[in-house]
Amino acid sequence: MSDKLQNEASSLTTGLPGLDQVLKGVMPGDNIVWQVESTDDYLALVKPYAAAARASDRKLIYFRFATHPQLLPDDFGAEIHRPRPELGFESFTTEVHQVIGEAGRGAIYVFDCLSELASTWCSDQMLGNFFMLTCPRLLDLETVTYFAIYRNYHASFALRPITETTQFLLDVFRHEDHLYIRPIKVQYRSTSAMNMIHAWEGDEFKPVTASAIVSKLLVSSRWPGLRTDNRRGFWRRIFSEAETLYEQIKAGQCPPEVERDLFERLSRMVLSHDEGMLKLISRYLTLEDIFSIHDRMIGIGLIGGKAVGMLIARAILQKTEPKFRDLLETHDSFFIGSDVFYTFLVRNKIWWIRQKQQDPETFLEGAAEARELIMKGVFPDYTVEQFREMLDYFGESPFIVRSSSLLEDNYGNAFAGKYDSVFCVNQGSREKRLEEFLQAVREIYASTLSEKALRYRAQRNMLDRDEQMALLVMRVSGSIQGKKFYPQVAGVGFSFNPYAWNEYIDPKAGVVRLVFGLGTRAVDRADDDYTRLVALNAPERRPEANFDEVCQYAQRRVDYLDLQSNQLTSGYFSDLLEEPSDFPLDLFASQEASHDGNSDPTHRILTFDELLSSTDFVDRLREMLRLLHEAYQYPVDIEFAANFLNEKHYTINLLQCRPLQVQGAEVIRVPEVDIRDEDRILEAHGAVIGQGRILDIDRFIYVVPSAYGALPIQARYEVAHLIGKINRLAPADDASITMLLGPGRWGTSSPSLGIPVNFGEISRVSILCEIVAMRENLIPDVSLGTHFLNELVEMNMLYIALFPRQKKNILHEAFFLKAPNRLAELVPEAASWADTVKVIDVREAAAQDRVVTLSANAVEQKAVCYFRVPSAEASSFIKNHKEK
Amino acid sequence: MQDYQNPFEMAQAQFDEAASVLGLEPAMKDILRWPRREYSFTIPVRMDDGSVRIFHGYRVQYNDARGPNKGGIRWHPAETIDTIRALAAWMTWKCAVVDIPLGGGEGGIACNPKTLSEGEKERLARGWVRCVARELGEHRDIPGPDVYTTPQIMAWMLDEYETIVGRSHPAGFAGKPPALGGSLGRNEATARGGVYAVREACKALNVDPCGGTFAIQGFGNAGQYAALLHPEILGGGKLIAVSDTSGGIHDSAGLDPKAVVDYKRKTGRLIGFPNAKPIANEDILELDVDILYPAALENVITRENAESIKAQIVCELADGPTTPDADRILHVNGVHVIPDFLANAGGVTVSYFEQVQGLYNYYWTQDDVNRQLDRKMTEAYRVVNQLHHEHKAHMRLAAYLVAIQRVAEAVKLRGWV
Repeated sequence: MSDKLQNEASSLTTGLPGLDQVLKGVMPGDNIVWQVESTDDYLALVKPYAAAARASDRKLIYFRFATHPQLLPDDFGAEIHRPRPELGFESFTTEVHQVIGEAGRGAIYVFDCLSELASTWCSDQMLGNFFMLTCPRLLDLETVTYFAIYRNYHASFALRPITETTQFLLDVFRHEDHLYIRPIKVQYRSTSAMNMIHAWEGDEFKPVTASAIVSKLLVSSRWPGLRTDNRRGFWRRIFSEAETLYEQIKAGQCPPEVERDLFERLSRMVLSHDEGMLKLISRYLTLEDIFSIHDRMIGIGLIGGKAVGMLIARAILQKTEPKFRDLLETHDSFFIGSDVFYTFLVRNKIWWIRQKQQDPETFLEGAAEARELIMKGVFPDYTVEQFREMLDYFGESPFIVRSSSLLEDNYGNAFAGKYDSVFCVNQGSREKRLEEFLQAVREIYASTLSEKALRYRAQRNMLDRDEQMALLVMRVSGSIQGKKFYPQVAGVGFSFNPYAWNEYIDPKAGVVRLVFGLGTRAVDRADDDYTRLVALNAPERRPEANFDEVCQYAQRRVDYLDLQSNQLTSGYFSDLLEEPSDFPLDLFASQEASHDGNSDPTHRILTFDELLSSTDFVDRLREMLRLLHEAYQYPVDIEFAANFLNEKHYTINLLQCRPLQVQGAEVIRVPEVDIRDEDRILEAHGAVIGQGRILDIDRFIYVVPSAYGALPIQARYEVAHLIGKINRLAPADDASITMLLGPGRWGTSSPSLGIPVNFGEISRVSILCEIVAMRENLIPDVSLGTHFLNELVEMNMLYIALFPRQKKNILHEAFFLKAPNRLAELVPEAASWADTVKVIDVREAAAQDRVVTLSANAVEQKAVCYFRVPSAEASSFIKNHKEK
Repeated sequence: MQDYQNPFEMAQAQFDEAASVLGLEPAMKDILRWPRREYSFTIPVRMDDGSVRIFHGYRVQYNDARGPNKGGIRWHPAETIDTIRALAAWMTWKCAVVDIPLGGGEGGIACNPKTLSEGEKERLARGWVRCVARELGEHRDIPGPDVYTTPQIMAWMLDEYETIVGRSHPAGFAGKPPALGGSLGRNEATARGGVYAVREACKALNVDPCGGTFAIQGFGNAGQYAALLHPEILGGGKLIAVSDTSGGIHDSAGLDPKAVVDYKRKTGRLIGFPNAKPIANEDILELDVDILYPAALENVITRENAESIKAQIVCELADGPTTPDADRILHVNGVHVIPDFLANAGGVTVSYFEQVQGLYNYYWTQDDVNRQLDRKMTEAYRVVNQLHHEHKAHMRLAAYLVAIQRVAEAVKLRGWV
């Protein structure tokens, strides 16, 4: 750049200081293409730009060639040239370039809307060619130029060269009388704020940071869909024909069965083959829904269980209850079809290695090599081009790439968590963001060949089943707070509450586990922190009785996306508050008392008290879960996030919905009738608190009720400490399953009513059983787990209350009394307690070919513990379960 | 080991041991062995779902020879009259050992507050007061907070009482929020009182408080304040280990108490505190420190680990951290135990100050509270330690001797016996 121009560069401007700020200044050589809905919007931008150029005494050149109203009047002071498109591409281009050549360096240009060139020349491609010739010339001459094209008007033949060549491509659209600008391409000047939607308000261009508003704006701004895949093929032809047919259906030219057949055909192509899901699909989705999925689809094939679950759940809510149309955050996800996965495998020479994984004998062979190849694999150009378009759509908004395999989230499957989900913080240049995204896709593809996933499929005899891996790309719900991005509240919900620890809790009202920030903390249980458990019919009833306990069991750490380091991370809530934020803090956090007993504004504890008591958030979640449960005709679990735009208005983003899972149920299936009476060790029809599960027990620790009941108070503390010692014998990462049974309340502070352990003394136990019996004249009340409820929830521990004297309940005490007791061997100094405390390892106590299985069902409030002979399939599960 | 089936039997046995040392006459023994008055009543409460549920409430006025009864109200699912009697007896001795002119009492409701809504809690609190209002008041019986009774519950109770009697009675209930006449310094009173006692013990035992080390097991309210106040009151001392339910941290070079407290408030736990080594909860008791504060749970020092306690002074901020067997072992080994009902009497003392301020309707500064508390605790420790030497009794017994002697003297002067 010449010195003179360098000095003058600072005077370059759009004429709108707020916009200059967004674009980080206008630089010599910038070509700025505005993608507008009307020339009025273009004119609004041209006017200040041209006026500023005139004021700075720069040469202002206006190319007037279109039929729309003239942008700059003749007397404006601009040099106006009128090249004629109708004379043909060559003549027009030559004339324009002649003017540019004569004007030399540093001029300011305004072009009429270029879209008319395409219609005059009947070719998008020629428009693209004109731009590719003109734009670099202007860049060389360090000019600044405004171009415009109409939105949703051109094919990729025009758009691709324009996008590739220009320095700025900025989308301009109106929503509810406001003008919004969304940078699609910004060369060399990427900052996270620049690639966001900005609202033009007075002199300012304010970034829109809340995901709820961004997605709403984008969806309402008539995004044209993915345009770059012009390959013709079977899939495209089918959809093209379907769209034509749909037009006829809408015009009433076809009988209803044609519509039904078409819907069914497309559903099976795009959505699911699962009959249960197809029933829901036909009830709640429409042909238009399938077309809009197709518009946002990269590649072809099914979109997978997670994507379908999310779409169905949204449709159920919005179609059943109109208020959810506004309450649900607008969804603008993309779907990457399963063929992209297959093509990737073939192109990168992974296909044949992967075939080895179908053989139960060799299923782990070559998996590591295949994963390595996947991590280095390349994608076809046409796919990358569509990925780029998707990235342009998101700008620098964070999104998450989620596995959506066909086996996930359908009825009866529990593939949850076996494949990865990867957050893309999505900050930086377009190429950097693309690479981050490609890496995320590779990572998820590689997870299909992870040992964890392969073993899981082997256990279920599913190695030879076609595992098509589709992907769901979702905008991360939340907003920017300082340098971080997170939703205000997120969590998981169950339409059936398995934690009915209190008689006032209606299990059918459902339950949610809430966290502040990303929901990863609620989905992936954190053993160093807590979540807020909310019974949806009684949110105010909580297992903590005073504020000290509330503080003790409050969430301290928050998961968020760090926009600076470009990664998912977690930090202390108190640290988050040190950065500026604009959410209504009082809804989520209460003030903790300071050391002088007064409330201390600097110490905040996440209680969610105001959220639960002064908004209708709980009612809405309860209603959501009820409607979904009714539609599925089965309990469901969901993942969600929510954001308050102010103290009263909020949106909920429904991220996932699937039938409620029972852990282990897919492996160990023993019909109730097949359990012989003599094989039943224990059967409880009473309180079962915790998510249902079926698993094999490795060890029992049994405190004999009659012996314990005869002990003096001091001795009972010794029993509690002894259980702590046995508990500590197991290494922290021990995966074996221990069931602890004893009389009365576990964790009571009154030893007369139970065993006064603290949680550290039972922390490695998987199942906690209270036997409601002690001595003849004392039958203590059960605790329903309330002494440790927060820990039970966070550690995914199961609680069972057993009333042995009630009808149908069984306690086969002779088994516990006669089985070999390992206490003296494990804790020699406690040998004298052998009559009171029994440590029974099932391997020693059961006949060689038998195991002891616990089947617990919170919905039916029933638990059975019984001997059985494991099948080969189930043994494999158990073996691998322990290896995990 | 004695076989006690309930806490009141244990309290009576402790009394019997002290009474025989003091050589109390039979009638005196008898009157001090039992509560003077007991109230047991039912409280109907309208629940949120429209049903009515009957709760069982209690108030025990153990002995009012030295002044109006004073004692907490517990809300606990396993509440029994025997637990309340035992606590009422201990409160009588606690008030006497720090020489405040009050008798002892205790009350409670058998309920699980974890299952009650806020509205139900309020109706239950008011219902309890309606049942015993005629027996309450600053000149008869002053209830205060205990297990699961919060300042809010005390505020509802005060309001119900004042509504019934038709006048203001801020001195009639303790543990109120400061806005309703609660005393400053209440939150830290237990720890502050304990640390004053430790300071006096250091003087008595010639332990250098500035050069010494200390450890705290349990890092709730009392433990955190002890960490902060120990160096402030003793003029030095190095905190080398603390623990909470998640585990402990240890640094022989010393931990900064303020940084540890801030870390705990921020993270909810101690594990992970920078540059400190982890230590098991039970190991912290056996560390080689000068002063050990058990501030968490009952029965943590037992006959199994008592021999391994290396601290010179054990200050029992928690209730009942040492079993009777362990107590004897510590005494034989020369470990100086400041027993719970002396060590944590700071709480009841400031609660008494709250009553005094309410009666005057004039409220003290935090400095006033601290100064008066120092005076009371210093004097109490001095007298107990004197009897400890005079009777060659372990400190817990010595504290009982002081307390029972004082109550017996009042009974005698009143001519009851």
